[in-house]
Amino acid sequence: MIDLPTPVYFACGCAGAAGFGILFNVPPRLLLVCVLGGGIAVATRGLVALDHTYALFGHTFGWKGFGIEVGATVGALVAGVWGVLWSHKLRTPSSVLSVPAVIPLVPGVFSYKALMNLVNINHVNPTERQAALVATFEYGLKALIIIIGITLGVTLPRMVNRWMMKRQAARAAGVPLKVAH
Amino acid sequence: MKTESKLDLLLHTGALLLGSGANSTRIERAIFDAARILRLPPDHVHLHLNLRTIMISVEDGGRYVTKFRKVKALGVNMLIISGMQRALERMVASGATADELRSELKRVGSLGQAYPEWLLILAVGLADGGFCTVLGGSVSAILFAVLGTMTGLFVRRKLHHAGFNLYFTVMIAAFVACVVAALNIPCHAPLLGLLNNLGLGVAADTAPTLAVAASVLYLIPGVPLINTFDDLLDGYTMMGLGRVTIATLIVLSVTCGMVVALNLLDISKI
Repeated sequence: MIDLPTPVYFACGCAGAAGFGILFNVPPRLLLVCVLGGGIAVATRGLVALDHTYALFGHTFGWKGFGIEVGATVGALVAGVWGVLWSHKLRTPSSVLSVPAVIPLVPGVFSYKALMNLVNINHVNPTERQAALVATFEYGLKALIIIIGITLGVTLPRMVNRWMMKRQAARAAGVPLKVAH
Repeated sequence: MKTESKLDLLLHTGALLLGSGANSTRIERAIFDAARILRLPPDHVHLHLNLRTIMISVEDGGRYVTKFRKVKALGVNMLIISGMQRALERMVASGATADELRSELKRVGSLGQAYPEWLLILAVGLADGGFCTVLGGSVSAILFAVLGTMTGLFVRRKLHHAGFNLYFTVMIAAFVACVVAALNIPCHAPLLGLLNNLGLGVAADTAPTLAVAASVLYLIPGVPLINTFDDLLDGYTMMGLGRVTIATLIVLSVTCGMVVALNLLDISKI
């Protein structure tokens, strides 16, 4: 991941979410929310993952980047909250809003770098085999962790939302709260 | 209304969602919403979800009626997911009849593509251009990533509509995208030189192969991957494993297409 200004990240995220939103046939009335969600997700990832310095009231604050794994998770979390907030207003499943928005966070390059190295273990000259083997696991593990992070991030707000709605509905109906199986 | 016909409506609800890339929890909730509309008590409806089949058993006065349905194509269509949710929510609230449910299912099922084909191809091209920017590509790398993606996606959709095998389609699409994007390697120096002569002052291209890396990102199966973990977390273990198998095979096909292209063009490192 390279250091770019946040507006550039935002624009790239918007472009990514717009492309996948259209590919996934998101209803046109929801596309704008979806696109902005993608921008927010990718911009958040950039802010969390990378090192920054801020100047505020004459003081300089340093932010130590958490790395791309945490960055992608927090980005997906923010996109998930964004999707849930709008889903009530727009009366739609929140996944329609949040899933295309987090697709730009999916580690495509790491995934195929892992598989490319897997192919290379058999292919390159013997001295490079070990490096290819290590790279397979390194990139594969990274991709897996990022994907799990994205999913947890985007699922958590939806789960909390569903749980809160269930409690609200039960309270409105005067039913005692109990765990449903 | 006979239980058999009610069962058909439940299966139709589930099959539409399963074929549109909804996760298992959503499918289950939609089927039970439809059962409410059909006045079937929830504890009389038993559901078995599989990767491509839905099986439902309904208790009907001491006997069981069971039917299952196979879904032909698995795709992603958010228009159907969103339309279904709205329709079911409205019908549950208003206490709709079975006939209304049937006509709504017909309407939702006929929802086609909301965007023209050229806009779709252009938008996905720009999306990969955005990814190339994030990866640190130069202006010419971004341009060739967009071109590669658009050509690849065009080929992919043509093959898909012709009914070609999914994995071979992805492989060919990745190959085509790579070959077109690899044009950045001979073309980046003259192109950036031209832009500089026009007084735009663009940065030099230090990693021309980034165009190739970005041009296949549109093939990464994001929805199956996210659905995988959704399903695994919600306890649909077999469904999740099935989805992750499909997603891995797609990524493997992308890699195959890339490896062939890169070996033919003799590009060693990305």
